[in-house]
Amino acid sequence: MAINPHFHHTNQQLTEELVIIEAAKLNPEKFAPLYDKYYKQIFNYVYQRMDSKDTAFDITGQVFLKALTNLQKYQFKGVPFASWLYRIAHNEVMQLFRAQKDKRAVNADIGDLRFICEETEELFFEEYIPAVKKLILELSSEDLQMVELRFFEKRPFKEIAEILDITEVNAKVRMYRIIEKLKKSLSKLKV
Amino acid sequence: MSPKFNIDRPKISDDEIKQHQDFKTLVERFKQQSLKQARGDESWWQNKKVRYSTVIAGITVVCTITYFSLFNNKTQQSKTNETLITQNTSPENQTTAKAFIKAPSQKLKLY
Repeated sequence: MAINPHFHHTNQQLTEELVIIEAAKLNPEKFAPLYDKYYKQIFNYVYQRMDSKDTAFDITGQVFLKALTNLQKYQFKGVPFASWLYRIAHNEVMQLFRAQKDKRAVNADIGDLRFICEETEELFFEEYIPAVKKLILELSSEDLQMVELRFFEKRPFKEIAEILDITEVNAKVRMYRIIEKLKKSLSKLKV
Repeated sequence: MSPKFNIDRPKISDDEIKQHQDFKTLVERFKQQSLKQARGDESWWQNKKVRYSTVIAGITVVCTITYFSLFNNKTQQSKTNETLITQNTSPENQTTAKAFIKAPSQKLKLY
């Protein structure tokens, strides 16, 4: 599976980021390059999970405010700084959905659905779309998050693990189980 | 209630996203928030009423603890004295010269 290049950083890029973070810990004004670099990504992450544009912008602002407030607690774990921002965003979004369940929405491209079918080794037919949609919506909240992160956003397991605060092995096992579940359901559709 | 599923929803333009991107406002909000937090941390101690009442309460607690610990010591001491006295005065404890082996009865003729 091709990983989204957005989520891959070289060692040099990681070091450069770390330098900016350390500077921002002393002076919040120095946080600007990270804000500019990740604002769009974080907004897209939030907006991908809801319908309301305004709410997504509000939450994005809240994510960066929290990041700046808790920057002293940030610890480098060998993944891009974005992972930490995504984790904050994930928590903020989940907090919103706990209070207002109707705000939750799943957004995908037709290509993403086709990709799920390819991963589960099932052929993709246009008439399956409603059924695939239904299958995805029937997944538990945790499984749905995994599908969004892996199939819709094409993130590496290491980053998924960092966002969901689980181990990489755990993320892989969970993904494997979801694929098996989807395989079973899709094969039933074929019959 | 299951969430809504949108396929191929139109994406928001970069310009619109950039319009909402405002680092200055973020830093201002952060500064205001940290100032508020700092004031909040200080204010509970700066409040005279709270400060005096905590000091008075602290002193009272210390005084009562020391008083009770002293008082308990005294009563315990007096109790031990009393028991010592009673132990001394009880007839059982009086040290009368009692033979360990009873003297042979005079009625008993041994020879």
